[in-house]
Amino acid sequence: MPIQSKQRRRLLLAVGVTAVAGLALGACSSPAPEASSDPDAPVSLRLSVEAGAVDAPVAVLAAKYSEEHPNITFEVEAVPNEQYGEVLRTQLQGGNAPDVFYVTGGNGNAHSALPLAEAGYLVDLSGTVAEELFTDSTRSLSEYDGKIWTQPYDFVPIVNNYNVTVAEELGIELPFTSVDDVLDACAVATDAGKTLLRLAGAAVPNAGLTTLQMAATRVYADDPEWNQKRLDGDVTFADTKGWTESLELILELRDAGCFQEGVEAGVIADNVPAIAAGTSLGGFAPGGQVGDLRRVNPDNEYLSTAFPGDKGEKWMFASPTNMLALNASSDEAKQKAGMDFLAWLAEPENADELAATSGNLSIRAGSGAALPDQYQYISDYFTDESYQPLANLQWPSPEVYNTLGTGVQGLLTGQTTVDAVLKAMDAAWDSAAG
Amino acid sequence: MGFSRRLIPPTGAGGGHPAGAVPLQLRKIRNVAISPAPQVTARRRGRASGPDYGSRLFASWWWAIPALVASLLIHYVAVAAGGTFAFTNWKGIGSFEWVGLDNFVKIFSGDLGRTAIVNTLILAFGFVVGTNLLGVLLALGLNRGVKTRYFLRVVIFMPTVLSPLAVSYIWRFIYQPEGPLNSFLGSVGLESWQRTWLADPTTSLWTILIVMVWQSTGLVMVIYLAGLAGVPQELEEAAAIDGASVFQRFRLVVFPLIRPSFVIASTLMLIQGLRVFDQVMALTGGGPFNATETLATQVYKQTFAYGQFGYGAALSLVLTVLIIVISLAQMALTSSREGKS
Repeated sequence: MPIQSKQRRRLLLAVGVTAVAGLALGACSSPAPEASSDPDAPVSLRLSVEAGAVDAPVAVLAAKYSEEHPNITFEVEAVPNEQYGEVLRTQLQGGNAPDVFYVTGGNGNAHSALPLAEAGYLVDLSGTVAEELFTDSTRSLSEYDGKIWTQPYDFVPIVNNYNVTVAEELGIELPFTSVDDVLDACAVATDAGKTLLRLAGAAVPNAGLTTLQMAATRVYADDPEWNQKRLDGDVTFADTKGWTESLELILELRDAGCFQEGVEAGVIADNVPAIAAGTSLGGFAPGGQVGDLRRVNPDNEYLSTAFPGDKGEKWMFASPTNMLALNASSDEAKQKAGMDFLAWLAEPENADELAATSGNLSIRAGSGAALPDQYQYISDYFTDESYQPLANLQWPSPEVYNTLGTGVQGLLTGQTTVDAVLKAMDAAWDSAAG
Repeated sequence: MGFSRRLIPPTGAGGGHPAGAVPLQLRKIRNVAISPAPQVTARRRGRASGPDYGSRLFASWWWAIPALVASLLIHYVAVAAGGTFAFTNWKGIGSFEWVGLDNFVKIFSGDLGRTAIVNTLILAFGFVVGTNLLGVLLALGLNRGVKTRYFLRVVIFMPTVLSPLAVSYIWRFIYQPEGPLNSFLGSVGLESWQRTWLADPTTSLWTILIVMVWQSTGLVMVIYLAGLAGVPQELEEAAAIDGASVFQRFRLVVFPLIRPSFVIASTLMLIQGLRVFDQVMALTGGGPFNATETLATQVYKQTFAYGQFGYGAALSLVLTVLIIVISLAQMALTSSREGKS
């Protein structure tokens, strides 16, 4: 009896272990592919976007696409901005990434397109409608190994957004055509107990973006290929006069009282309320910020302008920064459905609708589409082609941009010097470029 | 066995009761406590030398194996696997190369790495000292006597249950240039003291420390209150009658008795201080110009913001070793003092 009992126990143990292992393996295995030759076969696409206060514009358009194509449904996954890159990379490496997902162009972020293309995670979109949406100057944001890997869906101008209602009350005329105009307006605003510009000095993105706007006319207007030259080792931040002038201009504006009190402690969250309330007249941000300003204070009017050069030079950053990519490991039916969705999204009326939702420009704006009133002062930048993609998107690592943003705060607090900031940016660039 | 012998003296020896005069209650306890002992001893002997000892040992371990394996895989293997990336240049995606100790050299030779280590140590030790000092004072004050002590204990403990992030955002508002702190200073004629607290490199680290201490003092107070509950009031009264001052009573009578509370509170606060993250990110984000960067914030930024997983893993390893070494040293120090006392 004891022997039989032992054998029975071993048998039960073996069966139990096999069953548990089978269940575990079954749970881990991927579902069977949904490949089908029927074009109307139902397909469910996982769509990953950055989470925001309102539904992501792409998710809004995806819902419309589903209405028009009932066999295509979307499972939207909204991931918080600060975790988006980390989550996407983990999913791609784990083999459970969404079928369609948001990325940014170039190299500058954790969810930038080019490193993902290089790692083989993206579907090649060469020869699709995506190619039409890039110009010669913006193609590099999506190009790797001579192929296009992403499709942009709107156009983001980096601008100064102003509360026009309050500016008119103070007799300040917009847009400014030189730095002297800006300094004069600072004095007027200060006399009225306000400040002209709101800067979040403690926030790397805002401090960095502000400096880049200074550098647009001081570095890139004369040398649009500056990034490539830096990559080739022909120039450095420290030995480029325009970069020194850009950082010195920040200090000049601070000393002229253009920024709010305690600018070095400023945070991004306070910018929109301050501009909407009129305690500050404007600030540096992507054009989409005007949508937030209108929501906070709909009674005032707002406009986007570009920051002028020292003597009125005109150059700005505007990029097809926001893009969609397709997962190379999705099955064939899903990749086909994803491509159809991207083609639909690129149709002019859908592109315009998406831009209206996001507050940015239509991806067709660069090809001569009418601009919303908000952008009336920068329309000539597009017609004259006086713009290029946001510079840091082509930098080799997010650390270079972070060094710039941190350095600006150090300048405002007196902890560092212009030369030290530029040398630190060079060091970060060299470290990343290897 | 030993427990039974200590509690219940053998009949007629040391118990103060002659044979046959043991109280009924004690006799009952003695019967229950002592009688099973010989069986237990026999069973132990049988285990150690019997033929089924191995299978019985296996049977008892069998139940612990799933938990041990899970613990091994989730904690130790995962940590060891992550630690190996400290010796690579992995960027979070794609392939990587072994770079030996390059990441560690970068940490200890670069300004940012050194700043992060120094700030971590300042915050950790400041946190231990601040919370323990205030915690023990509050515990002594609210231990006895004060009529509203239960209400005050709740009020002081309350911040502990709040999210560190929520607390930090409230304090960030207080520290703002146009915030309540500067307004208060202005209203009492101290305009010269007004400053941008979070963006001033001379004050930013201390503002973080204040928030940390403010939030955790309640927890430390409760730990000391638990210790003080075990201190007999008669001892303090006896010391007072013998002429001991308040400070002498605390140093020579109360503190030796609440030393276990001190060990627990200081260890917990030290570990919490060394891994500080939430308060720094919410209040200063590591600024101004890296003046408040700590190892934990650098781990996050390097790993997830900049995609330098190899460097981030090296920073994590340094932080882990720092926590282990300092905690062990601190426990050894307090344990040896406990032994002496």
